[in-house]
Amino acid sequence: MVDAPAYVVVGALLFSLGVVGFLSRRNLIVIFLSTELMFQGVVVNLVALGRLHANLDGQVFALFLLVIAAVEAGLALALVVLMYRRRGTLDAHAWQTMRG
Amino acid sequence: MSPHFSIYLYAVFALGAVGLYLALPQRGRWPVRTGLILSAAALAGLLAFFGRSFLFTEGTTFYFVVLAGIALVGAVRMITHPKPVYSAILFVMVVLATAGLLLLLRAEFLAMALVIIYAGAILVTYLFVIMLAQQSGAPVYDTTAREPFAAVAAGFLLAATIVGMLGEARAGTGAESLPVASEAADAWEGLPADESAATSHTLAVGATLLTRYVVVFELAGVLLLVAIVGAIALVRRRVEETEWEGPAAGGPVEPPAPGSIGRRVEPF
Repeated sequence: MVDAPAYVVVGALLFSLGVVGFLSRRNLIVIFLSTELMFQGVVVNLVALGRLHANLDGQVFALFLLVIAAVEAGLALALVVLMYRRRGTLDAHAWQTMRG
Repeated sequence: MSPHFSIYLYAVFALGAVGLYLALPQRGRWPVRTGLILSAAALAGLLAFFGRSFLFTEGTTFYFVVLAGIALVGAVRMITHPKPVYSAILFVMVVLATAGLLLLLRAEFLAMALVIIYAGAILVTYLFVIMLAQQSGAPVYDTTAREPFAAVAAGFLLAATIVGMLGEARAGTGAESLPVASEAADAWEGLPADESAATSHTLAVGATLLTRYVVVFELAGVLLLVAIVGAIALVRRRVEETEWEGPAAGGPVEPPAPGSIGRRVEPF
């Protein structure tokens, strides 16, 4: 019998690994891939806690989260393609002039 | 979960954070390998914590430990691998492991939807963009990490905070752990009482989706349509319409064949 905190720990770890990847990589595609990893953690959390309450709300939420993840992936990749066309590189540092 | 368990988890996370910091892309191979070994040790500690009652209960815990291990190994290697193609394939592994975890939670429809949508659609799109836009060799933006210490510290604080909240004493429940997938949880809410005993999960999700959440369902469809239009509008290349000037103005003698304007447009 696996208890709900175990699933929440796994979900939290997946989410924070996604945060680490998002903050530390320079390749635009890997940055967005880390965002998808965050989504995985959230899905695990939602379904586990929904199961805890014997409710389907968590799973319906996760289903809509899948829709939003697909939408976000499509638009993010469209933006990545545009940014690659502009600077000829996938480096996030190429857009560093906006900083400051 | 009692508080001394959360202290153990803090220690495991700290070890994993040190390993992750060493394993992020950087010069030299031995820091990466040492980091991966440390992360593996931290993961082993974490899985030992999950499986502490493995020897005394039925097989669900074993599958949970295996699937959680696969998911976390894939996630760690995905964010530390210098090649984006490997990151995408490792993310497929993470998606499959997450689908397995959802199957353990008896959410079969969601697990299959996750595999189909993520591994089948989103990851394929990512792979296409990687194939089109990734430069060959080892470009510098793949072999160095940006602010690795700050990133790992932020991730560790986030994970420790979430897990630390689990370790706080819960007043009034009287139970140390919250059981998931118990027999009483077989009855899903939202269904008529006579059906909920032997109903499939897909039926339950479908019934809930189309009765309680039908407005959100329609809004999700509208969102998808808006996203399709937006993505096409973003990357559309504008092709100039040129008027055919005719031989008197110095243009070519023949008018352009229908559909030939804009036929040769460079994709990138």
